[in-house]
Amino acid sequence: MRDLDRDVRTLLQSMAEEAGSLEGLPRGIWRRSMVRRGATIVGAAAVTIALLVGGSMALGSMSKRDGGFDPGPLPPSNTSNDRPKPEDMKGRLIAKGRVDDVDWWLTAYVDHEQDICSELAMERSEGSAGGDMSPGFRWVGMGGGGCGPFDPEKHPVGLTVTSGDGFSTASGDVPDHVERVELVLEGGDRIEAQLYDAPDGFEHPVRFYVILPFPKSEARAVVAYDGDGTEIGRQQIMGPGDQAETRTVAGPFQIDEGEHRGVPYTFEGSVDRQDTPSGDIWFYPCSMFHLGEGERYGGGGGCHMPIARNHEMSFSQNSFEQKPEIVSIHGGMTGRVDRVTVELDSGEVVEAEEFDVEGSDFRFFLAFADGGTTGRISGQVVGYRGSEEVERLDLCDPDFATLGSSCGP
Amino acid sequence: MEAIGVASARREPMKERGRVADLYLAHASAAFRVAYLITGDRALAEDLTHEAFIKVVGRFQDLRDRAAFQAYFRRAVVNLAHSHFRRARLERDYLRAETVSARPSVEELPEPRDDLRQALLGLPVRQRAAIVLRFYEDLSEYQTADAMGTSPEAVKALVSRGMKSLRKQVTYEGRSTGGRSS
Repeated sequence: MRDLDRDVRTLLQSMAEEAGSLEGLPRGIWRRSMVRRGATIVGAAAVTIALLVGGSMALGSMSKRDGGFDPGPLPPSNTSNDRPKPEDMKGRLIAKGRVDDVDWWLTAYVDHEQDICSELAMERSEGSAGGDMSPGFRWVGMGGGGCGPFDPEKHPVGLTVTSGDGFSTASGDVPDHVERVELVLEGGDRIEAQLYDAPDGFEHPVRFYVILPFPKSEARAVVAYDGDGTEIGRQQIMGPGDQAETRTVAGPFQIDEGEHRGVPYTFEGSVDRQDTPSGDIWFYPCSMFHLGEGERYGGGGGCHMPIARNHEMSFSQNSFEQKPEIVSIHGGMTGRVDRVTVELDSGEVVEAEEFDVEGSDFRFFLAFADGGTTGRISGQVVGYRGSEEVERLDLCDPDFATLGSSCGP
Repeated sequence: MEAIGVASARREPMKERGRVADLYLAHASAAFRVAYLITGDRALAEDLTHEAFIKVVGRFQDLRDRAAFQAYFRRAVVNLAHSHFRRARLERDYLRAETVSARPSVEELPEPRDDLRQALLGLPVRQRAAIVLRFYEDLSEYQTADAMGTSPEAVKALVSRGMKSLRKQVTYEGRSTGGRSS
């Protein structure tokens, strides 16, 4: 760890100690919190009434997210559906039920990126006495959701797991020819999931499953089988100690700064290390590009994880709303690549500038393409060793690489 | 994580009050320390913590993941701190225009203990928040992004720029930046 890192940590620690602690609940806080809660409940009731008066029978749209009090994107959960849900989308009811005096709903939809989003919501049943000792009390409020790609070949099992006090719930989607989904526990015991067909007209051929509270420390995987009992796919469940840990091990480096078409830019990089649950250790470079004085035109980048998975290079592509003529293509590469070019479909070939960075075994590159008035470019990024072509990657699909966006392979 | 349940307010008001107090005792001090590190002002940090607590506990029944109360609470603190400084900047600009001295900003806080502290408190609030969450709270980039309502890449950039700025402002041995070779 560098000196500045250590000193910042020490300073923050000493400031935190100097701040001390807060004592008990201050007078007035309880009352103010109840006033706010009352307003929330009234707001929720109003929305529900409006739906009923409108004659809507779409129970899915009566999920808690429509109560007008969504707390925002989900906090991190252990999930393969790892993109937070767009908050403007509505779910369709897939299934609902009641266990241990707790009502649950599973809703799902396909978002504008054609990903499947699903959410498991739960709340205590109306009129339930409940109590600390009732079984449902310990898991009411659990549940969650997320979005993931529909990819029956590579990722047949979509999975969202949320965990509470000793228990977890799991839900997700599987291809529609799946006939059985099981939760595999440590030691080999299995719990069969409840499986539900997608509603008529659902955009992807999938079914959904729900596994209600199970001991979180014992769950190891969700496995899907077809009618012949053939395993279609499985998704590992990570325990709290199994989560992949990522940290920056070199940098961030200021790799380059300069001007392109009279506009200043900065180019930064770092090297990250990820310790995977399976025990593998991955290293990969990350690169960030920003355009304009004080980054006024934006920019971005990312970590080039493909390099940790048998690729020799990877890139990010940035376009800029206020500077459509400038498109930056930057990334990292292994020592096997010594030259990078951007070969545009127009026939133009742009040589990238390559950089060695002290403290990094990876090398970095930066190239600029002419985006004209639209910022749309198409072509490929090609890595060479001498005259040998090592890797060729398509630039981002111009329909998705819209102005002001960052993308990568 | 620890699951937290709240019974009906109408049915068991005293019990719920006890639970709110428990939530406060369990989480308020940690949130307060984060607020203090971001603002550098004890009274302001206390106000922001109370406001954030009221906001989050007020919709506790509706949180999709109640076990993540601390994460919601931390996010509310960061958001409120950001809003406070945005408002304060507008107010300060206005008052400056009126040639009246505004409330001291964090940049003008008295008696900085050392250069690094002064430099840290002088960073833009989002850079400061990102550094506090990464270096004090030990959150990952993903968790920091979640707390700040931004992307992990933006967090990486904020921390990078913040640290670069600190390094520039503070006389530092062991300076370490990348070298360009081609």
